[in-house]
Amino acid sequence: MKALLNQKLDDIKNYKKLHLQVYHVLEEFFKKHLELIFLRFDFDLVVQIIEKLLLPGIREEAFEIKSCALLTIDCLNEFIYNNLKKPSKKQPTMAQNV
Amino acid sequence: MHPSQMKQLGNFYRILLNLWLNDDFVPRFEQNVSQLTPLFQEIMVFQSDQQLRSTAEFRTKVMRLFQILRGLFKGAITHKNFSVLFDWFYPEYFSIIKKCLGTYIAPPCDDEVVILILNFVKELVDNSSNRLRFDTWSINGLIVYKEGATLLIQFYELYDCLDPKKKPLRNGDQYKEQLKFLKVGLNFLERCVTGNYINFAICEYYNDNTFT
Repeated sequence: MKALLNQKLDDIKNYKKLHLQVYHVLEEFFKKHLELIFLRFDFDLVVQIIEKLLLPGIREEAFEIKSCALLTIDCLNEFIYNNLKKPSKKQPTMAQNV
Repeated sequence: MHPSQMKQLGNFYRILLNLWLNDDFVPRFEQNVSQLTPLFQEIMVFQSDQQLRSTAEFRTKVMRLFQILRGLFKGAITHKNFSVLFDWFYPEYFSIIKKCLGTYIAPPCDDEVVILILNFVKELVDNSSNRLRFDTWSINGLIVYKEGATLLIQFYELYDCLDPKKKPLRNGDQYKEQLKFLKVGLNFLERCVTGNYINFAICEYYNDNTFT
């Protein structure tokens, strides 16, 4: 994730396949490993991912990228909503972070 | 050997592996694959990394070896074939990846060789044909993931996650010198996350930090 943020998005955009892959990976990762993100990730990094990659992704013209970015944000929202409604008892640290 | 021929070498071994692992020839697999042993030995015999790196002839040999290995693992698409091949490769020859990566990763990074090695590691974690399983008695998936992640982390840590200050452009080609590495890293992560052969909760349970 840090490696992703170290590159300028405009440079990545020049390579269509790579650009799409970035959003595919983010979507898969946020779909399956949100627990890990809230347990172990530095939250500043997550905020940077949202601000520098996901929000610009929503404004992209390419439908696939737009869809991946929106789905990723949807997963994040759903996870936060569910956890606020019913905090995880198994992992209190995660519930606290959420 | 010309670089384009090098790629064909991988394809040749991919096809050859299917022949070697044909039901009629499986008993002779070890014997057939042993033709690669001299190549492994030639590279392993070098104690000093500098010595290995300074010889152009050995650079070609390392590239040849990883093209062959990549071709072999590309060809092992079934669970049975992968198990036979992986049992031969791990742990006896696995250390060669670490040795070669350690040699060519050191600044200034030899981008061409390192990409080839990382592409091979990426090939190892591919589970698109469901060849890696986390069965009762098969932990190949876990080994492949753990070792692969360690190698990739080694590279990313050395270059501080492709920080332009740590890995500046030497030839001005951003794609070849930076973005290609990002691509391999993303591919690797995608294959691990979507492969469904590792239970990440186990890593958490045993306080294994490989994933984080």
